[in-house]
Amino acid sequence: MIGLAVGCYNDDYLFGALCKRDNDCGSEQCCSNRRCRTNDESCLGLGEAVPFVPAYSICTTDADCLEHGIPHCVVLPNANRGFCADLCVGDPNLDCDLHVFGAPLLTLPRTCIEVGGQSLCALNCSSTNLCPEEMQCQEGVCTPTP
Amino acid sequence: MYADTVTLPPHVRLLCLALAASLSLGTGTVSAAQTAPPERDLAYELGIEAEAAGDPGRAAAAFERAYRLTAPAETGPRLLFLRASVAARLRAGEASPLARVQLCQAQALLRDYLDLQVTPPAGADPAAEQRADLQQIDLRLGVEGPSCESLLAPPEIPQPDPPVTEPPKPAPPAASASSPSSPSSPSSPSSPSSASSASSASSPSSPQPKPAATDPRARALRLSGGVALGVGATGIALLIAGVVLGRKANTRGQALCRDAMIGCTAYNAELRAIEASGRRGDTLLAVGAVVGGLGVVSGAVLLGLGLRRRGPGRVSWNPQIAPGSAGLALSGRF
Repeated sequence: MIGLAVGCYNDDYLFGALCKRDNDCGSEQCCSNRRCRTNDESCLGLGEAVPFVPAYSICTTDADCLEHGIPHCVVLPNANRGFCADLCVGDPNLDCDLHVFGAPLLTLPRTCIEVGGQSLCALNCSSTNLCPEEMQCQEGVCTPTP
Repeated sequence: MYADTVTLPPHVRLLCLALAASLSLGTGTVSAAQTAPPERDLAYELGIEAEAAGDPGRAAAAFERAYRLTAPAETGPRLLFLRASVAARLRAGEASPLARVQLCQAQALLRDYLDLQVTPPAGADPAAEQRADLQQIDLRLGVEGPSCESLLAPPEIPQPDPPVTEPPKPAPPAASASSPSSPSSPSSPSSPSSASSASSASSPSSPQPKPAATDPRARALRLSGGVALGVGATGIALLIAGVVLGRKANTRGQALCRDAMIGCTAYNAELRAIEASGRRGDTLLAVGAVVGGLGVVSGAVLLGLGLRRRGPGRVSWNPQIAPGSAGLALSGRF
């Protein structure tokens, strides 16, 4: 598209938005589970309660996450790495993505944390003290290990 | 005197013409006087109008034409027109930088008139006034400066037809009998004075150039080039509108989703409107880019071809030099 080529209208702002169907999202996007994501092989079907692999993966900038359709790289204060996450909306255990954790399927609970004036999804380790690899439980939230 | 005549109102001018006709009758040339050539009356009227408009040069040429259209036998009107022309030439000579030309023309006219006059052996000379005028003009012309022959020589390039030319209609028999081109007339049209009077009847001091002929194909090319450029400009305007619309949608979308405190829902009405606006901007941009690009390119090509067919001189570069500055100025004509 000429518009994209010259940097005009760009619907990337819809990444991570809550959706019900593909048409709710932008061009070259899909409604993966309940969020708008990049339309590629990682797209999940509607209502599939399966983990989204790139969710909560380690990142340093937003660009690392945007390529998978996740809008933010959540970097906590005094940390140099963060994790990919969506903005919280509704119930975090319902609307924040699941994460692959162990086999057979074992999921971690999710919660919302305040960073930079925004409410973001995060893995909740306050009750289990369990976190994925390369992450540690810090103040009840899984954060990248330094 | 003629000078009095030109300041009189129109009805007195007509009376003057009637008096001139009656003078002709008095000399016994009934046929010429009864049917005065309409061209002559027209020329005289033009002279009066030119005088009133403050253009003595044009008035002199018109009076001279009336004089030449009058048969020598019509002494009254002929003398009237002669006086009027000479007086106008003298006045034009005072005001115009081409004074010498005006004096030469008056001189030629007076000589033409006096050549026909028979000097009486004794008694009052009826052409004494004209002889005095001629003497005065000869004195004013002096011996210095270009000769009247060279000044009144017919131009090499043919001049445009004079605007006082009457509409084409068959000349009445009396007029043709007294036509200045008739062999019996002493003033042949090929003489220098006649040639100068013919050319000066339109504009004695500034011949008007004929408008350049335009190639209709070049004109069509220029016109279509202009239209195409207009379409191209419209396309570019659409393109700019599309860019503005798209960028505005981006900003609003970012504010509602990525930069918001909590997540957004892609299916809410506001976001749908923003998305629709952005897509409309995309469409405008695409259409504008295609139309604008094609229009500008084809317009430039057509206009360039049209200007090239027009020949040199339409577009030119001129150096502009002034104290403290220098540059080039591009000028063109459509």
